[in-house]
Amino acid sequence: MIVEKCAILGNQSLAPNIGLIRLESRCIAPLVAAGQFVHVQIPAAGELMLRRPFSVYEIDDSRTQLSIVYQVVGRGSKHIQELKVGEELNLLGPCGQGWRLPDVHQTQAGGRVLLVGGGIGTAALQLLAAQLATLGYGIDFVVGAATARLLVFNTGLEVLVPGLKLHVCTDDGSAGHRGLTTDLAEALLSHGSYEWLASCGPEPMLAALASLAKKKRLAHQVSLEARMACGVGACLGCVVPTLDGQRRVCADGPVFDAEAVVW
Amino acid sequence: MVSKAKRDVLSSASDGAKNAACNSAPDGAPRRAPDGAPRSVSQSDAAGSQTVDMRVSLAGIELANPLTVASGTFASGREYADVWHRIAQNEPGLIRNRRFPGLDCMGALTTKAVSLAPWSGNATPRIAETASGMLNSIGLQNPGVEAFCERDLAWLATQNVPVIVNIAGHSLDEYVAVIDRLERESVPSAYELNISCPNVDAGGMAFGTDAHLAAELVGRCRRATTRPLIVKLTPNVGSIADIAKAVRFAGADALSLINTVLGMSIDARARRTILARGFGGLSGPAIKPIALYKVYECHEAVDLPLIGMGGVSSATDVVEFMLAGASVVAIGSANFSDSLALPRILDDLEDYCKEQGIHEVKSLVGALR
Repeated sequence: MIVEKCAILGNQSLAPNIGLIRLESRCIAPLVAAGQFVHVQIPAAGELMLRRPFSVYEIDDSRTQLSIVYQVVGRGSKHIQELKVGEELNLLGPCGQGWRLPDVHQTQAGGRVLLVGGGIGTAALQLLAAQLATLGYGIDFVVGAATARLLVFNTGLEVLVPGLKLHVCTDDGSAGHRGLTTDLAEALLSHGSYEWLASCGPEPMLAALASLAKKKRLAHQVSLEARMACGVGACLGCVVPTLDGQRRVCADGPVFDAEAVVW
Repeated sequence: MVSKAKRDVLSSASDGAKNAACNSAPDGAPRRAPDGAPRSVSQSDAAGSQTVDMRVSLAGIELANPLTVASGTFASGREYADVWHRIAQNEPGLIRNRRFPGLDCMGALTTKAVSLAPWSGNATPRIAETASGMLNSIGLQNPGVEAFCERDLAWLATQNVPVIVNIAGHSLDEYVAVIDRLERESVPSAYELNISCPNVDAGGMAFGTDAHLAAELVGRCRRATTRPLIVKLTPNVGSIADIAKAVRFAGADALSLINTVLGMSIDARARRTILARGFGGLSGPAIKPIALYKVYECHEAVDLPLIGMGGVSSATDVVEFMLAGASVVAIGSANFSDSLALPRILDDLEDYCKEQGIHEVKSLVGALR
């Protein structure tokens, strides 16, 4: 985990209140593992003293750039939305423990894995999908959003990642299946056979998937979100109850075994 | 001024990062500067070869410099030691200080509070950001003194830094029992009695808002140890000077102030408090003027060394606290926004002394004109 001032290479709007920011990062980008996050200082806003955690969404082929996806929910993310190319962001990272990939020797060759992303949480699964594909897994990727306009960052994923099948759902039916990601996931789980499940999104979605996976005895990892201060594991601001006591989302997570979390 | 100070911190971080090429070797293994030392040109060279005596003493303990951390913002130091080490390996130019990157660059390390039994803390959310500050309601989550001795003190024994152990309890007996256990350890240089945490139901701040109770607690702890006793006070009282006098009379060797200021944050749309507990302790630059005045007030009221804290994020903040009467100054929530806050502030403090022609940093203590 290091500190880096990163030049902004692009800051584009993907949908109302959702944006993607691309950063030059020669120090942090080479160190990032899928599922880790960067802790971002809000610039030119002295009254906002806490950093904000963002999953690393993409890393370029040369591993000198990384991007994050943000949703404008408050003053901090509003500042990020207004940043221009050439300005800088101070990043602390890579933070936390990323996805622990399934062991290719323990799982069936060419087996399938299921990824479920709800809303902005989908961003945490992007790097993972690419990595699972290179390990030879077939991937069913369930992506959900409130409405079609907010289904932003997984278009084209089927083209980019070989062996990946996208399953789209929206709350209002404006794209794909009308309903929840958990409905789609349940249908897939009842028809197919999976080696592994990974999910990131709203907590009720994660909890529902956790109980589904438990019934199926399917290994399941979740990436959790929390209000955070230090980002390094010192302040105990972001803990989550687990069977092993309070665990720190920033340092012990953000990826946890779903079974270990007390939902 | 607060945002100016903040900008100073940011800009120095940015300068450092520009100097620091990311020193990853082609195979990905980080490479150190040839002499193993920070490589950027030290600004202090420009200020001449004059050396500044940064040492201060606190209740009989000699500290290499006046900086420590506020209890609870730095755990037992392991996480930050790790971050500092990695930064030093990858970006040696980010910090000028030659003592960097070890914890030994700190004057003292103040641990997170430790209690007799494990405490699980409060429900989440425990953190809420506010204007130039933050609220926390962690609730002194800690693994208990036994695990603390085994895991944290054993590790701290390998670090070359004086350790102040912060102690919390639900009752007088619990404070004394924690001290009894710590007396068997060689690492602690001093104890800091936390009688000011606003985030626990029993004990905590209740001891710090009643002069008689505070004195009784300090008296009991005094009889349990000959190590220096620092008492950490709350600003959430009518007269902090009265509490200071009471604990001085009961045997305190030094005072720490201030703990956080009680506060609340509300989500207007959800009509709920942001913190699960409803209220919490405010820290950060927002409370600095309150903290400075409380330090000044106690410096006037009692003849005890003081550890000042509350919104410190720059070397000028440190100087202000020292001028108000603090011998030692603690960095708290600034650690969260800037992991390198302490070593950076230490560099800047040394530069300030050189610029001002100050030979001994301790000459600043209480030196308001």
